[in-house]
Amino acid sequence: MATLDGEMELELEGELELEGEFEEEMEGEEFLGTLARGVGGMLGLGEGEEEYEGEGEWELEGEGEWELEGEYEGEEFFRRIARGIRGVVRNPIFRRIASVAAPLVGTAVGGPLGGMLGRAAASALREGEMEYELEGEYEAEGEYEGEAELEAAIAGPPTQTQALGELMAAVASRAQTEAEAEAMAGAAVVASISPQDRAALRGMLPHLVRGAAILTRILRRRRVTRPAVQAVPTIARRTATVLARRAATGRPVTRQAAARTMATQTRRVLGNPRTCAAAIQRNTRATQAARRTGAAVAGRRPAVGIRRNGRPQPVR
Amino acid sequence: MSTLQYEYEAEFEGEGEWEEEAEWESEAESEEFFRRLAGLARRAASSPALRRVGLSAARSALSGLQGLGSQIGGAAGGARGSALGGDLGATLGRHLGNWLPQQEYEYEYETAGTREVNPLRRIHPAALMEHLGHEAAETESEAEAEAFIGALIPLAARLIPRLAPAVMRAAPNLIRGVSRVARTLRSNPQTRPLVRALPGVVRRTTASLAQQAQQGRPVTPQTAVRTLARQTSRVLGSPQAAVQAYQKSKALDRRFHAAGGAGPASPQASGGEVHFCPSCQAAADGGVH
Repeated sequence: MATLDGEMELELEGELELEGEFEEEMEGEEFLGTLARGVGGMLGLGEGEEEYEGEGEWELEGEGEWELEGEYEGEEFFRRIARGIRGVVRNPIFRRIASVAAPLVGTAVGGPLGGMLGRAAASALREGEMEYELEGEYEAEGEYEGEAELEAAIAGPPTQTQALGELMAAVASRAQTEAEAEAMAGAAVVASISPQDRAALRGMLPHLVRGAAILTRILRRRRVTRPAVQAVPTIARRTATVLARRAATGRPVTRQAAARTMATQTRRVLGNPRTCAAAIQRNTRATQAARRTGAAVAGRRPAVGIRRNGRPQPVR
Repeated sequence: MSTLQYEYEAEFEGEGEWEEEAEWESEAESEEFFRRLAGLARRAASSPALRRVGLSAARSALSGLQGLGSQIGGAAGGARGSALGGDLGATLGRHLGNWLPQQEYEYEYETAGTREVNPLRRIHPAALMEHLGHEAAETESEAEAEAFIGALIPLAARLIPRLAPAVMRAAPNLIRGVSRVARTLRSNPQTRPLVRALPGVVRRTTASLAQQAQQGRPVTPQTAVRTLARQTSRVLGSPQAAVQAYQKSKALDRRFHAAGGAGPASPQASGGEVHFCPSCQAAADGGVH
């Protein structure tokens, strides 16, 4: 175990040194492939992973499907993770993917009309809109008027079910087959949405699941964007929060509204490096917490960091 | 259009354009399939072919234990552990598969201990599950089908709240198992209608796990997958159980739409034309109003 920790430390050090280089050279997947492999290692993808595009089986050396090698504790580890993640999501391919994914997600959720709304959402990105300066943007009357307000609405430690939803998204990002990834993504969406929102949006859940499936497939197409699958629960949760608030104000929640909202949240999360990094970081923390809870139930170690029945879980 | 945009849109935008017609044909085929099964059920006849389908589907659920074995082995012993764990898991899966009923007279129909949760007490999640199963059976998109099937597990976990933590801990393995079952059934047009019975299988699995927990037996990922396989073979391998699951599926799907549930997976046509769910004739745009 100490040897594994030492190996990971060396790998982290190497990847952090690359961060400065990456900021100067923004193009080229070849270079980013190296960094992505490093970040993938931090996130548990393991060594010896083969490069490939599209579907297919690939081998992980010494890696369980959703377990990280060794035990990683402490805020320092998460700070290093955060630095690595931020370096990766600054890749301009994420903004390009966001502009492509948003209309496709809109089509999946709302049909052809939903796709048109998604393209409208994506066009704001293509016109050079600076996502991280959109503090004052608003969707429509009754919906969240800024990123800060929406982030505050979904902030807070995850419930046990939400943590397991994040875990499933992490499994989806590393799954060996597209089929498994999409199955995990569907489950992650349902588990990540709060019970109250799930009850309010029962009729829209199948469409949101459909949108998440398409989004997962898009993000898994390229290795450099595959870690962003871990942001799918955040996109689903943000979408559900906005739609639930819309329903609470008495406005109809139609397929078109769901399509526009999910497309917009896809654009906002994937197109904003800060938001995307925060989502992936949230997933990493929740996944770790879910693993610890599972181990605690099995009698191996105490559980921390997850809310049970709305109350913070005490450290045992 | 950029190369990246063309790459993704070429793959994904074609989906759905011809889904509507295919879904109508598929729904008619499903109705015919279960009509024939109902005939067998009325005559209390068995179907060796259906039994083989049930066993095959159940074995595909157990094949997920190979992945579990790799996971456990990898965590314990690195690359060699992962390979050894995978072999052991596959061996375990084959061994457990031999416990599944092999002969006609070994077959058990529904018993009191494995009856699924009464949907009248959990009508909303159960109705949503049936709608997802319906969508998974009818959609031409493999991605959508997988996602709909995967979503069944967390919904089933909420049916019995005291069991939810145990079911969710086993969720990755259960998702993998039921996903493999769905893929096996969808791979053959003749068995594809049986996907509609999967929500019932998942609910019966949850009820069985609850009974096991009540008897003091631990609910582990392995026992959860074994239970899923057992319920799969029981439901899908029996004409009576399969028809019962299908009829319940239609009834709950109808309830889902009556409560304002979503419309079909087919895309909305332009010009205000309304589409109806082939199952219950509910209007397509059943949003929350």
